[in-house]
Amino acid sequence: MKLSRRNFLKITGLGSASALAPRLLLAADASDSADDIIISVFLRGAADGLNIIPPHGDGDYYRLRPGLAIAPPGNEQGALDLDGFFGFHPGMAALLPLYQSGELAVIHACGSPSPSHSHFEAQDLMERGLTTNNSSFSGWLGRYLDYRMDDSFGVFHALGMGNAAPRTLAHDASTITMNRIEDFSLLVPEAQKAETEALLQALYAGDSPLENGARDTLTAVDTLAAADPAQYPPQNGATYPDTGFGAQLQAVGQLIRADVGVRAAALSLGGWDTHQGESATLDNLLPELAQSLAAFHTDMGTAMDRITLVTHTEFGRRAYENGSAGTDHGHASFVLTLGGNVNGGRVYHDWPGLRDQDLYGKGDLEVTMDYRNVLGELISKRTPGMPMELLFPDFDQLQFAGIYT
Amino acid sequence: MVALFSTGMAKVPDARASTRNSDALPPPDPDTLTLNRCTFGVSNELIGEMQRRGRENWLERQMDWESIDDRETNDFLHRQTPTVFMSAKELAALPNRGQAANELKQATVYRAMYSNRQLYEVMVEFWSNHFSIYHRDGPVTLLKTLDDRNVIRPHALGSFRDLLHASSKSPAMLVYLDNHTNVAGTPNENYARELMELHTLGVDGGYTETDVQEVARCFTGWAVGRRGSGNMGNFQFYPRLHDQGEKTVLGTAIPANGGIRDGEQVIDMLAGHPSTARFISTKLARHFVADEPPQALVDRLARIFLDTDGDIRSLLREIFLSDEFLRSADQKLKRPMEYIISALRSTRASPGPQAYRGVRQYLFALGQIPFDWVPPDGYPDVAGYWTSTNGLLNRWNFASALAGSRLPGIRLDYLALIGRNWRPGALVDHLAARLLHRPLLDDDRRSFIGYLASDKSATKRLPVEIVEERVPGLIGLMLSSDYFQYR
Repeated sequence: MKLSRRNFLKITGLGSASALAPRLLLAADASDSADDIIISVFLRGAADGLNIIPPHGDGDYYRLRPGLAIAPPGNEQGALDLDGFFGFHPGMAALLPLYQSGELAVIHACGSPSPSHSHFEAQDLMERGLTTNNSSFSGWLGRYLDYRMDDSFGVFHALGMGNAAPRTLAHDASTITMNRIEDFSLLVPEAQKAETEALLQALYAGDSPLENGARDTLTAVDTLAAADPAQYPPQNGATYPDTGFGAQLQAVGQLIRADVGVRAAALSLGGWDTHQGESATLDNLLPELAQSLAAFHTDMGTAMDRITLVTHTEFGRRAYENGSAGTDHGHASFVLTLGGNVNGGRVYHDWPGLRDQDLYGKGDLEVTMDYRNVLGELISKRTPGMPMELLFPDFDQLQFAGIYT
Repeated sequence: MVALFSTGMAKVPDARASTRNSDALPPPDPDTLTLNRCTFGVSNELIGEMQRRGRENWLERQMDWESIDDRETNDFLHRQTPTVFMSAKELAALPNRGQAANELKQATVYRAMYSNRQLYEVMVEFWSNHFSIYHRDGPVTLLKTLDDRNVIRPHALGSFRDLLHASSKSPAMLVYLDNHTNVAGTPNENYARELMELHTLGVDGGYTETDVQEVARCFTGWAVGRRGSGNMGNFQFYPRLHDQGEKTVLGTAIPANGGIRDGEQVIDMLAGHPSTARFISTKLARHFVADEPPQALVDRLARIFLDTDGDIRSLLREIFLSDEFLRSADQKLKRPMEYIISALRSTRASPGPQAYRGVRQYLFALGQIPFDWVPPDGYPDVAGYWTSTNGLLNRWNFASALAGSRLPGIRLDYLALIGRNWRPGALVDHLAARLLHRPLLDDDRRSFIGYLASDKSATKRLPVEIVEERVPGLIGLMLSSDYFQYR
């Protein structure tokens, strides 16, 4: 039987309110610090793969987007060439060195085969790793955590940045969610802190989700206080952008450095629903995304050998532009993946083309790579032995493109 | 309890581990349950009022919201948040746009806190969330004030059809979902899709991608009067930007040259559609009964929706008088707004003019500032979303700050709250009745008493220094307990 951290502590006679518990957690976690960490970044709102990774070598791209297309490389505000056919939007400049050094790969015409054009349904399905609705509540990364769960897992094994626990991480144990490290403490008068914690433990002693979550919250507060992550500022000259997302990714880096036992983290960056005024939105969001990822890579240094970061978006956008200088909901988009185990410096693709007869549905880029092929390869290379039908219960066509070592 | 994000790890036998489940908390009585769901917070005065009138009469009176005198709240808002009463023209002339947005949020919080029309305010919140509009989207900063006053409030307890028509012509909605840029030839599908997916039919409601495109064509030219047009900030139909061709929506042909009637006909079709009846009924039952609402109740509501042409009061009556409702104690977790306002109401905290600052600080930390949800689906209405570690921790921190009078502009008179009950047992019982409005389990009662009197003597009168040192902490703990997390 696999034991949870909490039950492990109970067996050894240590309540998590005990002053000894945090140090014990740290000692145990430090011994397996070489373990893998997977970070999911969800770009909410359906990010436009066609303008973020423009296919400047495809003439139809310029036919369909006369007002919105990113100019070919060499022009003012032109694409930054990747492989002679695809390029980066100029706002992605901060990631170009990582692509060139082979630590960043791009997967294009990638996405979910689900025909849904609803943000909310498609996000939910993608976070769960499914194409059809079923009653399973867990996320794909959560099922990975459930599979790996053992005694070495501490309360911080699943980390969600934001107000609510991301569906991606939903699993059998609690996800620790926070907005900012410095706000994650119990703000009661110091003299009554221990007593208050003990009483909260007693009041929330039962087995409902609320009660389990409450006790894990108290454990996490103790763990964090003992680890004192403030002593781990960004390293190697990394500078994160001064934005909400930049700060969240910086916090993830800080917690990894503080060795509190993070095994998976999930973050979101919203605002990609560019029905109108798309150029200004991307000019604003892409540097925030690219500079944050690049800073994280710099910050983590050699630790990137055991960290893999992967981006998602629920679907792409219509291949042709609308009358509002924007694009409506589409189908395929892109994935970025970053880490020491990535066969980067390549755009993986089976380009479906943008001629009218190539388009999907009402005029969308077709999905030629199921996003679960990317995630499935990542998990099976890093955690050999995890059955893929456990990871993706309604997908049995897994094919690996050699994106990971 | 819905276990969307359930946290049950592998269980190991442990003699000391309690098996207590929150389902086993002593349930509130039907009056208290009704007040929990139909107000932003129970008070002893409200319980008294309901006992006097009877539950059904109390509900009828609350549904007849215009008959309830609310001048005091209104006068307060006129002084405190004048922009919520301004016209489009006056709003546009404001030197600082942020003022309108800030005052609308404040007014929303104050109304929830003070209004005598509590069920009405609960429904205003429900529909504001159903027709969710993100406040910081350009001109929406000003226009949401008009949407609140002209769309949501007039129809919150009226007819869904009227509400939907009003929303479709709401400048704030048209701008937020980009319909003001939806023009013939190159339509913008944003409003059309969300109108069907989120406002009416639901994602499985039976529309196709072609329907999305056709509905978008029907709404071409629906926009907002431009600056200098004499109609600035109000709904404006631009016939020359409208696609005059024939359309087909949900299998119904809409003949050419319909002009503004195209969109109005679409609204009428959607307002009376069986999928809309089911979708709205499910959301209402989810809000008032359970995260996974009982199917039989939803079925009855959907029938009533169609029979009454979406009469909101008839739907609420069916919910409140149902067995499903009376059996649903502790099935709804308070969301942050409900948690914070109910704590203020229960403790009779006296918020000064600066009180919104303190409330805002925790609404922000908990993630539920009014009108601040970015995508158009509105704040989630299920426990799974809100029971995060961040959520619990900030609830506890809010409770402690409120009880210790450490929130800016909010003072809590804990001595008045405990009255003459200075013996630990009586004090705990008195506070539990005032704040939690339900009986305590013996274990928890003992824990609270132990916090007051370490020698466990429940009957000896407490010295003043212990009252001063311990009672605020006790209040904070009661508001932090699971007894206070459900509505």
